[in-house]
Amino acid sequence: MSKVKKDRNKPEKSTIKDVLSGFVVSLIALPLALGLATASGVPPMAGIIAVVIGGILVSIFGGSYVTIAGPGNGLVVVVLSAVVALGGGDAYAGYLFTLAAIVVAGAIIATLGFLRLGNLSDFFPSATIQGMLSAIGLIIIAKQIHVMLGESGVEAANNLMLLVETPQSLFNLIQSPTIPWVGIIGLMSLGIMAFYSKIRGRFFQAIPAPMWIVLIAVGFYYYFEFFSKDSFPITAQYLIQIPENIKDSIVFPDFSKLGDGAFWVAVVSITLIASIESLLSIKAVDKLDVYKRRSNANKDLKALGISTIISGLIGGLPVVAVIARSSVNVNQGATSQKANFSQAIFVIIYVVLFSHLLNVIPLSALAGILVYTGYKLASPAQFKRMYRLGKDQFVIFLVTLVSTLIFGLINGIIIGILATFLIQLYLMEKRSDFLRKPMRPNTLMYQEGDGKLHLSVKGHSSFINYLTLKKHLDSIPPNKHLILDFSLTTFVDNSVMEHIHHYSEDFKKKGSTLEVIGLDIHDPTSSHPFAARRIMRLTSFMKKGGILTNRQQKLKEFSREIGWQFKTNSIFEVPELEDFPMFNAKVIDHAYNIFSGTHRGVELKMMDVEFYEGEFIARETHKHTLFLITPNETIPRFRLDKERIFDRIAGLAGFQDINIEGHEDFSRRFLLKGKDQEGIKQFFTDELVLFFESHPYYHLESNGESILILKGQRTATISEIKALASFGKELIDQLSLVEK
Amino acid sequence: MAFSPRAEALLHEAKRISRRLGSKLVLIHAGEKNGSLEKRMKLMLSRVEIEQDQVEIIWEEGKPLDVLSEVCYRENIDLLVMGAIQNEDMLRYYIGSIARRISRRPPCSLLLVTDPQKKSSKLNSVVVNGIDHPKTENTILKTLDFSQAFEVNEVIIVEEVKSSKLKTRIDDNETLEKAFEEREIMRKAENERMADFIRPLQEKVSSNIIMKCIFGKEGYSIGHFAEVKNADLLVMNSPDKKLGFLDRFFPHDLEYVLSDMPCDLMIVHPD
Repeated sequence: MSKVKKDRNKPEKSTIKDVLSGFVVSLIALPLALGLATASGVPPMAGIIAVVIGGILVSIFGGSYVTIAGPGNGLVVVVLSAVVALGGGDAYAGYLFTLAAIVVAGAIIATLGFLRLGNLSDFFPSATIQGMLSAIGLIIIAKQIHVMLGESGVEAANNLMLLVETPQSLFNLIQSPTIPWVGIIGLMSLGIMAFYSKIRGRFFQAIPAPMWIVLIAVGFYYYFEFFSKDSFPITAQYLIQIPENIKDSIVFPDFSKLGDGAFWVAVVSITLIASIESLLSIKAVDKLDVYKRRSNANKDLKALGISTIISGLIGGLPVVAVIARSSVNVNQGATSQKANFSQAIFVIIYVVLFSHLLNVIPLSALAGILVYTGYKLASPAQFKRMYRLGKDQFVIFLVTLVSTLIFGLINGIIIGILATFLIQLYLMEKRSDFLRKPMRPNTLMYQEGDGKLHLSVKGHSSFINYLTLKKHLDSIPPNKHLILDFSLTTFVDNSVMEHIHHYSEDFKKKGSTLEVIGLDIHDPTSSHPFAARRIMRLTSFMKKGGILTNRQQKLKEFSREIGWQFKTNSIFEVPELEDFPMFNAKVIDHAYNIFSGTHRGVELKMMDVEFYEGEFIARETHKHTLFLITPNETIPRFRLDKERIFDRIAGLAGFQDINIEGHEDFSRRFLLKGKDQEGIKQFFTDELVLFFESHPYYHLESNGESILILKGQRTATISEIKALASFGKELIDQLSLVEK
Repeated sequence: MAFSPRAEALLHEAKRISRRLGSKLVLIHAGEKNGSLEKRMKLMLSRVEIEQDQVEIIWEEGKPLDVLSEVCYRENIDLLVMGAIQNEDMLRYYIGSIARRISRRPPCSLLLVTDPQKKSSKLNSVVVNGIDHPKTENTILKTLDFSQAFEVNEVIIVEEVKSSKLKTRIDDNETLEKAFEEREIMRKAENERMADFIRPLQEKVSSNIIMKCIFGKEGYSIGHFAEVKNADLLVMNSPDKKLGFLDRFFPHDLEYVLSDMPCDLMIVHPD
C-alpha cells in the first residue's frame, strides 16, 4: 500500500524552476548577507561565506526540500555581543575569537542532530519564543537605526537607551549643513522595504525589494561618476568594504579563548539561537511546501552544524535555515534543494564579477533593510496578537522580552520559561498532582474497532510534557482519523492548543482528520482559567463588529441596494475555500464581511479573507477580497491569469498554457492552466472567450465546483467591490446562456 | 479489617465476592483483641448480615503489614480484599499506606477496592494485562473465572508493547509509513499470540473478550486505558520483585497504576 502512496506524493522536480527561484532568492540573499554581517560587527564577506557554504553543503547533505540556508537575523545580536565581549575593544580580534565560538557551536548543533534532538524547539513555550524574537527585533532596530540615519558611533548604556536616542540622530540628520545623502539613502531603503508590497506593477515586483535598494545605491554612485560635476558625496567609512582580492576575506579562527567564560556564553547563545531559528524555519517551510513533504529535521541539523563549522573555519557567520528567503523560494516555485544550491552559485558569481560595484553601497542602505526586518519581529501587530492570546500569554511575552533586552538572550529565555511555569502553576488545578509527576507519561494512543485512532491525554498538558504528545501526533500516517481526547485533562496550556491548531491544518492537508474532543468541559464557568481565557478570546473576536467601520457601513448600504445579505462577523472555518490552488500553501485565519446572495439561481459569496503563510519570523499575513460563484453544474478545474514573461518560461514545466484555437489574442493575453485540457477547451466557448477579452482582468480559479474571482493583493475598495459584483453577475449570465 | 469509616461498605463487598466465588470469608484484624472491638465487630457483621459461622475472624497483634502477610501465608488465603484511596496525597504516597505497601509485595492475590459500595453493582467491563510474561496466562485465567462469576459483559485484554521495541524512527514521510507498517505487523503478532491462548477458553466464558494492542509505557498505558474505557476492574500481574522506595520516584509498571488508580485493582499472585 505504501508504494502507491509514495508515488502519488512524488513531486515533479524541475531544474529550470529551481534555478529560476534560486536566482530570485540570490537577489535577496546578497544584500541581506552583507547587511547581516556588517550589523553583526564582522566584515561583510563573512555573510557571503555563510550563504555560499550553507547553500552548497546543506543542499547536498540536508534533510529538507525547499529550505534556504544562510546567515540568520536572530544571530546578529548574538554574534555582535560575542565580538564585543571577546574582543575587548579590538573588533578584529573579537571577530577571530567569535569565529572559534561559531566552530564550537556548529559542532554542538551537529551533535544535536546526531542525537535526534530535532524536536527541541517545540519544548519552548511559544510566548517565550515570541518574546525573544521581538527582543531580537528591537535590538536590531536599536543598533541599526542610527547607522541608517547616517550617524556612526552612537553609544549608550544599553539597548533601550540606544533606542531612546533615535530622535537625536534624526535631529542631526535634519540639521546637517550639507545634504545628508547617507541618511537619505537609509530612509529610502527603509521606505522601499516597507512599501514594496503596496506598490503594483509587474516590472517593479519582478525584482525583490532588497535588490532594488542595491540597484538604486549603485545607480546613485554612477550618477555622480558620469553625470554630475560633483564628486561622490559619501566617504569610504559609510560604504561597504570588500577586499579587492576575495582570498583576503578568508581568515581563520583564534581558539586561544577556549578557557574563557565569555567564550562559552557565546557558544551557548549561538547554539541556542541558531538551532531554534533553524528548527522553527524548517517547520514553517514544511507548512509552505506545496508537495507537503516533511523535512528530516535531524538530518538538516547535522548539515547546518557541519556548514557552521566550515563557515566558521574560513571566516563566515553561522549557517541557519532561514524562513524569509525560503518563503520567497517556495513562492517562486522551487521544488528541490537545487534552488538552495543555485542561489549560492549566483551569489558567488555576483561577488566575483561585481565586487567593485558592491563597494559603493552605503552601509545605511543595508541598515534600512535590517531595521525593517527588526520591525517585522517586533511590530505592534505582534504585540497585539500576543495580547489577544490572553493576559497570561502577554505577561510571559513581556517578561521574556524585557529580560532578554536587559539580561541577554540565554537569561531572557530561562526567565521566560520560569515565568511560564509559575503562571501555569498559578492557573492550574490539582497543583500537587502536577508537582508530583510533572514529567510522567500522560498520553495513550490506541486503535478503535473501526480503525480510528484514539489519543487520550490525562492530567496537565503543557509545554513541559508536550513532546510526548507530539511524538504520537507525528506518528499518524496520511488518511487516518485521529480523535484527540482531552477529557481527562485538568489543564491544557496555550502552547499545546496552538500546536494542536497547527496539527489540524497539517492533518487536513495530508488527508487525515484531527478531531479534538473533551475540551467543552473546560468552559469559562469551570475552574480552568486558561480554557476560559481562550474561549473568551474567541467570543470577543466574534462580537467584534458591534461598531461598523466606514467601509462596512457602505458595504451594508450596497448589499441593501442589490438585495444581498451582509454579515460582519468573523467565521473561522471556510471549507469552501480550502480546495483552491491559491490556498495550497496558505492557512486561512478567518473570513469576515461576508456577502451572500443568488443570481439566476446561482449562489454567490463575497468576503474579505485573512490568511497567512509562514510562522514566527516570517509570518506574512494577507487580506484579500474574494468572490465565490457556485454554479449548479460541475466545471473543469482551471486557472486563468494574465500572461507574464516569467510564466512563459515557467510554462515549460508543469501544466502547459492551454491555447484556445481561433483565439490567438486571448491565448496571448491570458494564461490558462489545468489538467483536463479537453474539458477546459469545451468550457471556454467563443462567447466566454469574448467575454473575458472585453472585460477587465481578474484572476480566476476553479476547483471543480466553484469559481473564485479576485483582483489585487488586498481587500477591495467599495468601487472595486461593485465592479467585482457586476463582473460576477455578467459571468453567470454568460455561463447560463451557454448552458441553454 | 480495620474499623475505618468505610469498613462496613468494604465488608459488604467482601461478602458479595466470597458468595460469588463460593469461598470462605476470613476477616483479619491486626491489633489487640478486646471486648469493645469484638462488640463493634459483631454489630457490624449483623448489619451486613453475615452469620457468625460463615466467617472466620483472626485477631493478631503486630505491625499490620507483617500480620497480613503472615496470616495470608499461613491460612493459604486466595484473595485479600482491601480498601484503598484512589489518589493519595504527596506525603502519603511516598511514605505509603498499608494497602499500597502490601501491593508492592503481595503475599497472595489482592483486590484493592477504591469505592466500596453497600449495594452490589454490576460489573460492566474488566481490563486485564496481556503482556508477554510467564505470569500473564494465570492472571487471565483468574480474570476469566472472576468475570464468569460476576457475569461481566466484556473483558479487554490489553497487550502493552514498549514503544522502544519499535525500531523505525520517524524522520520523514517514508519512515513514517515504514513505522506504521512495523506497528501493524507487531500488532498482528501480539493479537495472534493472545488469540492462540484465548481460543480454547472462549467457549467457557460468556463475557465478550476483546484484545487490544497498545504501544506505550508498560504499566502506564493500561491504567490510562482503563480510565478512558471507564472500566470497573483492572487486573494485573503481581510485581516480579519487591518494589522499593526508589520506584516511587522512578515509577514503572504497577507503580504507575498504584500512584493513580483508575478503578478497583486486582493484583493476581501466582499460586
